[in-house]
Parts: sequence; structure tokens; C-alpha cells
Amino acid sequence: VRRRYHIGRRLKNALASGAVYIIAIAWLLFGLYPLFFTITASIKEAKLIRRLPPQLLFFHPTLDNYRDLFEHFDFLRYLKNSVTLAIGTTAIVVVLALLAAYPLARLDFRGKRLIEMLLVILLLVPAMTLIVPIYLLYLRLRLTDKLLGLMLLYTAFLAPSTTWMLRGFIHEIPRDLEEAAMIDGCSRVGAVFRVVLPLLGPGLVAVAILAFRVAWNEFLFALTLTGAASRTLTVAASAFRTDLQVRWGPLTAGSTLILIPPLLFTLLMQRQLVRGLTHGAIK
Amino acid sequence: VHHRHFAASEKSMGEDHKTPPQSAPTALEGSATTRHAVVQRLQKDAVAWLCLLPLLILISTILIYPMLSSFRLTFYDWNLGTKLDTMKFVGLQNWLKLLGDERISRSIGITIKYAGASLLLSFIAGFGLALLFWREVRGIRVLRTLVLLPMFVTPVLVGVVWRMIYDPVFGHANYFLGLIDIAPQRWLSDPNLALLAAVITDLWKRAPYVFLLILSGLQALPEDIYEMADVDGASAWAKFWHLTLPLLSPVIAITLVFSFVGAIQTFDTLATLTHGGPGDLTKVYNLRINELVFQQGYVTYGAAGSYLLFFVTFGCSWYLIKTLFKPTEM
Repeated sequence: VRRRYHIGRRLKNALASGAVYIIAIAWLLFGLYPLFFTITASIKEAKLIRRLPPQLLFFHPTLDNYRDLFEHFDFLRYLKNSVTLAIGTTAIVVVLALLAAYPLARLDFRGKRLIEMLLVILLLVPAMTLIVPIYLLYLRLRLTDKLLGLMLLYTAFLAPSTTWMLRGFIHEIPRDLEEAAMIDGCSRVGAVFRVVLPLLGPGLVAVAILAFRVAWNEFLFALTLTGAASRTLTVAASAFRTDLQVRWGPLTAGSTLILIPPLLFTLLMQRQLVRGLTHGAIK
Repeated sequence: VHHRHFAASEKSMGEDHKTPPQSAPTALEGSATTRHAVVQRLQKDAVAWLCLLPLLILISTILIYPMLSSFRLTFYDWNLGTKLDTMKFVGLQNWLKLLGDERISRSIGITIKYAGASLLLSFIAGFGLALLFWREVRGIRVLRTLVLLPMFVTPVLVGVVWRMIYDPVFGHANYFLGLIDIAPQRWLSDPNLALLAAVITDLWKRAPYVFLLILSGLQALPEDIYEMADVDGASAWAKFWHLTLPLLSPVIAITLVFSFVGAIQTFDTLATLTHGGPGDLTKVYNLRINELVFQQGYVTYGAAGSYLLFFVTFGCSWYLIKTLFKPTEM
């Protein structure tokens, strides 16, 4: 009897695993097909992209669409703008947030609760609420159509969440380690550099990727505040909608180039990224 | 800079002095130590505020000042393209107009339908996937990553890509549905289908997000409780209903808040997918506000509208605020 029960349970387990795989595959087809379509279309001959039934796998890859994209559209400039913006924003916001997060996590000072409350409120401000006054402010400061203007804006927008996450990560580092270093003759600053920063590494990677992603993906402010000189990839992509409506070759090539960095980061740094995204929600 | 360490040892020494009755500190010594403590406290405040200064300068010029000035603008009347000195005070007029504006209330209705349907579907799908992928089956890590991928696609591109998929003639949605004998549809221009198409697209990128949060919540659950339930012979359903759901309820609440707040703020994806069309049928709130400000030029009226969104977001997030804003335990 025991053996039969055992076999029954194993059968049930196998069926359950089978079900997991089938449902997983169904969802994955739905989830991944649009990405698969875009990336493969970008390396197909232009006239094959819109042919039905589609050639899913066996076709001659070509880079013509990419050549078309770079020759006939100012794609290289948009790419440069977006890369500059994303890297600059990430670098500034991480330094700024780290500087602010340490006292919030470790020191007891007057006005701390006020700052924390301010940060939490600012976390929730919708971009749409700021767009009008920012637009007017930037007109007055002559910061429209400048990468610097957008960079400052993204940094400010990311600062509350980045600071909040880093504050949480610093909290997780045992205070004893720092105190031990200080007893051994380190100054507090020395202890931060030698003890806190190395342990904070994965957390820093997480917030940096999240910041990069936000700056890379941002659309509303870029749409409103950029002109010909500072146009970013997302604004260019929204213009494709009308300019390239029927030209799926360069459209998919451009889309692929915009897709790649965030997806690549996800695949490479998945663990840190997941930690950053779920932090605060779970703990 | 050893403040903390020194302060601690000093304090314990002070107490040592106090306990034996014969060595009560003299008045002079007492005032010296209090003065020292005050100086130290001020020093610590100064260091902390100095570290916070760059952040504070940036967020007060680029977030707080505009936020306040935007609120002030809602009481004025001014349109884009006219001179700034034509701006005049109109009291609550913008706010009252907002309440009676038919196009605004229609866009709110669309936003609620869109966000509600998308939240419901993506929650069911994300939760279901998380429960399935909770089990440690071989290859599960790769599968989990693949499930997450759509979440990381640039929102503007989600619209661009799905627009190609939905194309009535060349789109692969119609092609694959044709294989199971479903007639081709005009997904984005048919008034009966456009909102559904938008919801499916939103489901595509939001379900992975729900999946991520719920899965992390599940993985953080204590295992021993489940082992005890197994010993008691609890069924899978009973374990789900009496253990998983109650233990997971804070994570579920936060996931719902995050997802809903995200969904009602949708702009990028729909700006490229449907641009609000056909007609106004997918013109969600943010698209309408943006149109008000930048196409029709009603700057101050749009500012009032955008503030309404902030209040709603804030109200919806109250639970989140309460959870996040716990004073730091020192």
C-alpha cells in the first residue's frame, strides 16, 4: 500500500511539473514573441518583414536595416544623447544619494524625520504633475533643449527613491562592523570607505541599474523639453510611429537598439536588480 | 571623528560616577560636560545636514519649488503662447471647471476601466505564475528570468512593437489567430477592441512585475510553517488559503498599490500604441492632461488636472506610506 501511494505521489508530482512547464511555455510564447519578432525582423531583408506567413527562423540575416537607420536618420546623435544622459544621471545620483543615505541610516540628528517624510512624499509625485512648472522654470533658466537640463531633472527625480533604497541597504549592514573598525583606529569616514562601501557593492549596482534604466526609458520630460539638439532615443522612437509607419526595417532596427541595453542589464545583473526592485516592498 | 564611540563611553563613565554617593559631580564639572554634549550634538547635526545639502538643494529647486508653484498656478488663468503678465488670478475656477468637464470625466472613466482590467488580469496571471514558479524545478531560474523580460522593455517601445503586432494586414496577432480560425480584427481602430488591445499590452508588461513582487514575497515565507502543516496533513488548498494568503497579505497589498498607481499613470505606452484613438476611446487621463497643456495650451487648467492625479495617487498610496515611513530604529 505504501508503495502504491508512493508511485501515485510521484505520478502526481510529474503531472504537476508537466503542468508547470505547459503553462510556463504558453505564457513565455505570449511574453517573448513580441521581442523575438522585433529582434529577428531587424535582421531580415526589408521586403521579407511584412511577408505572411512569417519566416520565423530560417532566413538570411542582414544588417541593411541598421545601415538604413544610421544613414537616413539622425539615430547616432540620439544614441549619443541617450547614452550620455543615462550614464551622467546614474553617476551623479548615486554619489548624491549615497552621501544623503548614510546619515539617514546611521546618524541621529534633528530634522531627520522631516527629511524622511519629505522623501517618501516625493517618491509619489507623478511626473505629469511636475511637467507644467518644470517647463516654465526651464524656459526661464534657458535649460530647454539642453542635455544638462534633462540630466539635472532626472537626477532630482531619481534622488528620493535612490536615497531611500540605499538607506535600506546601509541599514542591513551590521553596525558592529563599522564600530569595530572605529575602535581599531579608523575614523568614521575611513570606516565608511573600508567597511560600508565594499559591503554595499551589490546594493550600489542595483540602484545604479535602476537609475540607468529610468534615464534611458524616460519619455514625458524628454518629449517636452528636448529639441533637435538634445533629442533622446525614446522621443525618436515615438516619432518613428508616424515617420516609419510602413518602414518596419529601420523601425525594428531602431527598436532593437533601444531594447538591448535594459534587457542586457537584466540578464547580466538579475540578482542585484531583483533585490533593488523588491526592496521595501517585501521587507 | 569618533563622536558616537566617545559619547557612549563618556555616558557610561558619568553613570559610574553618579552611583557611589560620595563622588557626586561638582556643579562646575556638570556644566562642562553638558556644554560638551551640546557642542557634540550640534556637530553631529551639522555633519548630517552637510551630507544632505547637495540632495536638498537639487530636490528643492527641481522638485519642491515646481511642485509648490504648480499648485499656485492652479488658481490662475494663463495659456501657452500668451505673455506671462497676462496671467490672472481666478480662484477656484480651474478646479470647478475640472469637476464639470465632460472630456475629463470620460478620460477618468477610461483610465479606471483600463487600470482596473489590467490590474485584475495581471494580478491573476502574475500571482498564478509566481505560485507555479515557486517550486524548485530544474531550469526554473532561466524560466523566471524569461518571464521577467517584458517588464524591462522601454515603455515607449512597448507601444511601438505592439502596434506592429496588432497591424490589421501584416500583424502577427491576426496571423496566429487566423491559424485557429479567428477572423482578422482591426485591433487598434475598432472601437470595440481598442481598449481591450491596450489592456492586453499592459498585461504583457505588468504581469511580470506582479510575478516578481509576489515571487519574492513567497520566497521570504518561513519554510518550517509549511513543514508543520505537512505533518498535520494539510491539503495544498488549505495551505494556500490558511497560510500563504494571510502571510503574504502585506506583499499583496503593496503589489496592488504599486500596480494600480502605475497603471493610472500610463502615458508612454499608449502615446505610441493608440495615441488615445480611435476617437477618444483610449485617451487615458494622462494623455488628456498632456493634450490640454501642450496641444491646446491650457497650462493652468492642465496644472489643476495634474494635481488631481497627485492627490489620487497619494490617497491610493496611503497604505504604502504607512509601511514605508516607519521611523528608523537607531
